[in-house]
Amino acid sequence: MTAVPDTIEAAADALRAGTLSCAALLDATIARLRATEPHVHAWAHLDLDRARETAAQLDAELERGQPRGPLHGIPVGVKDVIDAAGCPSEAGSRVLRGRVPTADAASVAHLRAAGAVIVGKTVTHEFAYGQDEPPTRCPWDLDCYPGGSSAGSGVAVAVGSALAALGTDTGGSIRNPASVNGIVGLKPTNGRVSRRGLIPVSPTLDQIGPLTRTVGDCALVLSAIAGGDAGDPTASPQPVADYRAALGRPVDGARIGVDRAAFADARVGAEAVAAVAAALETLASLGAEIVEVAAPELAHALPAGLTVSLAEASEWHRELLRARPADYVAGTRTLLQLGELVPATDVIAARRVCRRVARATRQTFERHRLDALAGPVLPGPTLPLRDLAVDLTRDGDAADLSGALRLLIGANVTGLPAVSVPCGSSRTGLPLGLHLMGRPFGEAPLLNLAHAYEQATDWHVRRPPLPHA
Amino acid sequence: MSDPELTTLCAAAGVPLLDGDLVPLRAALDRQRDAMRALREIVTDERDDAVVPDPSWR
Repeated sequence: MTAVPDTIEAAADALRAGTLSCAALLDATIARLRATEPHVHAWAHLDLDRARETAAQLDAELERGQPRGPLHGIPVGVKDVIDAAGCPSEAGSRVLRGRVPTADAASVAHLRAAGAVIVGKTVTHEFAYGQDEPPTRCPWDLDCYPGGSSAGSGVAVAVGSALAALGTDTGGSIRNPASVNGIVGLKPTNGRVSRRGLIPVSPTLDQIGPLTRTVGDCALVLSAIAGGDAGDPTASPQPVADYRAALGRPVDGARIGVDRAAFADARVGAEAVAAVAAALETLASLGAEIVEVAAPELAHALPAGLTVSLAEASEWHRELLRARPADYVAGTRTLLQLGELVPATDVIAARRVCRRVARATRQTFERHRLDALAGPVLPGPTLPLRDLAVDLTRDGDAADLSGALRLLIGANVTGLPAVSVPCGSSRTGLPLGLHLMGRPFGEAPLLNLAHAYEQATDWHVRRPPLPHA
Repeated sequence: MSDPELTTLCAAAGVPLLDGDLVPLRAALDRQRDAMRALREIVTDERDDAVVPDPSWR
């Protein structure tokens, strides 16, 4: 059996060299999926017949000397809130059971055009709203939370049943599973990727982005999915860089801010604090300048952003909640009911605070001439599922999802791009992540920083201990 | 907020309630109101929510 190359870049090299075919790569990926899926349950729906047809077509194109680019023949997963034509898109909910879209989401269409092979849909918390316990398990410890809400996307990439996956991020739902599973996850700048074909949580805060094993792979996927879209007025026409070509540049002189006081406020554990400190030392050794800053405004991002997303989610679900309330998971229903009871005056005030947070964050970047703001992705490693309280409305406890939200939702509220890159390991061997938030539409320099760090360390080559993975 | 008060509030808004919904909803509503109280302390009277047309549209 063909071994699955570890990364998109390695697979693309083998495909280009003719030592691997798209069909063989897909078969090996499916074999990995079959071996790992009984343990981790990362996939909601598979589209293998179409994937095999696509791989055969792509092999024919290669034989004709017509490679589409670095994603040619690459097996990819898509979170189950993003439409892929002909494949169920149920958002992890009984409410949408049997829904099969007839059109691809813009991001999926871009991936197909770039030659990616869509393997299927990955598991999500119900409607990406984080109020249920999905069947997915963390491959680093099967008793632990796999991250969310892009749980299946993170786990599929970590175990190699996809070489990349699309996730969505309203308050950290790409970066959280990336950190938990020891891979890379990027929330692009709001507007960088079209959201046409996305089942929304909160149109103000939602963004689609890649989860991959390396920063280089992340850059390749972003280059494929970024760009304006006449079908999504929020998609920015800003030119799309060749994000992969931007990697490998020196980072000396880059200024990276860190607000260590905010770590304590967010109850970040000693292991995550130490891992981030070590990561910053590594970046300093590469020539980056570490700048101590205070960014207290970001603490307001959670209550403000959550208030806005509560109202927006309830607006989208208004009719469905009335028609099929019993089909929602109880915790999701609670949030949707709550969102309908939030007064309009509170939503207006919260929106005003969101804008204030964005302005203050810009001032922090400009005052200190920052290229990025660094911190931990999560307060610590993943937690045993039995210890996890899945309640977004709590106040940021480390042991519940709101603790993760507190560190991550600032990038959604400000619209800034942010990446999670592996930066350490807990004493029990669980991954930890470094969070880097950059300037608007500054994905190229942000990924360059993450890549420089990644290449100076070996955290990204660690693999979960799952049998057969 | 008592059960009847919350039930009345939901009914007025047309929000469906199933058995067992009141307790978690009241807890979530209380936390949300606490969060908003804290937020309102930092909301200034800065009026920045005007719709400003894109000047490139002429």
